[in-house]
Amino acid sequence: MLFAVSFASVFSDLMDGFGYTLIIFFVTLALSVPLGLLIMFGAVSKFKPLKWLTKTFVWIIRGTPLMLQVIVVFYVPGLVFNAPFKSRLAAVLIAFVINYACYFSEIYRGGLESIPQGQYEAGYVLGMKKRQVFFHIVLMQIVKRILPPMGNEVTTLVKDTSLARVIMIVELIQAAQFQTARHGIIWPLFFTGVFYLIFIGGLTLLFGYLEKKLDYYKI
Amino acid sequence: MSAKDKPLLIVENLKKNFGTLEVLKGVSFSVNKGEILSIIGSSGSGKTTLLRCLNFLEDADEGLIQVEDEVLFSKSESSTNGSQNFANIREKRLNFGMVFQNFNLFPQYTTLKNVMLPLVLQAKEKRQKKINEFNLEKRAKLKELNLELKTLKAEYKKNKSEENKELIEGKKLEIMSIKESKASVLSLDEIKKKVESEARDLLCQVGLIDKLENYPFQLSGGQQQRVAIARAMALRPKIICFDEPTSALDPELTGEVLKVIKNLRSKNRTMIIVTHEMSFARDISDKVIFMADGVIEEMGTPTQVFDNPKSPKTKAFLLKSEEDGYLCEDGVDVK
Repeated sequence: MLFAVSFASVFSDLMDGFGYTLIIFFVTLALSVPLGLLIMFGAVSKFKPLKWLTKTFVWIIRGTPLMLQVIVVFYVPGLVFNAPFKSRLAAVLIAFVINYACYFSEIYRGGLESIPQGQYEAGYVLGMKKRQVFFHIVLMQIVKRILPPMGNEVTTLVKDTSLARVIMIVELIQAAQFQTARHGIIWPLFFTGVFYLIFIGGLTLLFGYLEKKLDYYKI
Repeated sequence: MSAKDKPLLIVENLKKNFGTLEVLKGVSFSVNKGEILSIIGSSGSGKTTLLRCLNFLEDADEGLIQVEDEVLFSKSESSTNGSQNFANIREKRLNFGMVFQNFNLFPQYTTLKNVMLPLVLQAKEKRQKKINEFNLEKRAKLKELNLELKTLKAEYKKNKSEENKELIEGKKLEIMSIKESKASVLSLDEIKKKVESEARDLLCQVGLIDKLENYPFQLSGGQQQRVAIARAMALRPKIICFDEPTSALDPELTGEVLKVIKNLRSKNRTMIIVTHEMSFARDISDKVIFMADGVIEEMGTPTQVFDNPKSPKTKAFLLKSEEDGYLCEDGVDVK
């Protein structure tokens, strides 16, 4: 009986934690996908200072652990500017969005640079504007190219949400750890794996579906 | 010289360097309307660069390009007419069509859409321009009428005459009707329909009416190149340039492409063709240019260039081509 009772309560606590996991995941995804595009335009800019500034920034973000970035975003405003962060979640989201936008920007850049020059030239000689060439010709080819690496990155994001517990966000893993500490049982921690697997399973199906949808043409 | 005899395209002293490498060392020629000019020569002689300069894919360093009476490009060492902003270049490019060596079809669009896309974009742009102009005019007119209305009202306040009141009502009606007026342009659907029938027609001309809904990857190289030719014709350029249109094709597929180009000839299209197909060039051209090391080594009718070459370089090139089998009689059947 003890087990049955605690399963329901443990499960409901884990669901609360999973709620935070989902918030971090969806907000990060929604904001970093467009922000990544902006960073990419910086990285391929013909204006050299902007290009190097962007590249340095991307190097710093990709060159340090996300966990460290979360800590820096959360503590530095308080320590340096005497303006501590009110919301832990906001700090996590800022760190995550910036981090993932940088990774996405590199994926986008790879996609952009894989488009042969001939595609642009064909557009130009047909009297198209640069904007038209980008939106009517290049964009959909990039989307097709970057879908597999994006799927990879997005599944990584699901699991990276667990880093938020470094500043005491009670996401899935942290919720399980509380259970472990409170009841002296370890299985809730193992059980979190089921949440991740199911969620990522869904995402894998979604990306598979999208790739199939774009299968009607080949690059 | 009457206007009719005037060349359609004049190129004078065109020069282009890539760093220290001089690719075009001053090329001059002209093409008349309806004429076909073939450019032959070994790799690296500057043929392709010449075509790319005409299409403004490369920015020439010096020289003159003139189509009909419009100077598209003019630059000399002393004076530069180099204020080439992109919008400017975009319009100049429309004088030329370009067929690339490796087709450059847009992979995510069907054959039909590949041909339609440039047409739709151009038509939409023209439509928008018309609407903007109309709206500008409308606003100016409304401003004027409102001013008149104001004066009438002021007058009415003073004398309260019935006549004035009628005038005010009339003005109000006029303002209403102008406010509701719309530019007379085709709807986007109508544009699409019109463009689609144009595109169908073009694809019919290149013999691909049964491949309208196919994507480029489903077509053979020869079919892809024929789509590219239809697409290049879509915007009705004055001159169509072909950059080695059959070099990327298997030998058995070159025939169908050359046949399509030959068909264009009967439609009185002006064309410039860079090619390695010697028998084709001899057969189709009004004028042949042999290029070597960035200069025109020899220029004349096909008979002059192929049968009586004067320059030793031309002779050597033709001899080599013959040995390689380019010139053999049964090489390409374009009839």
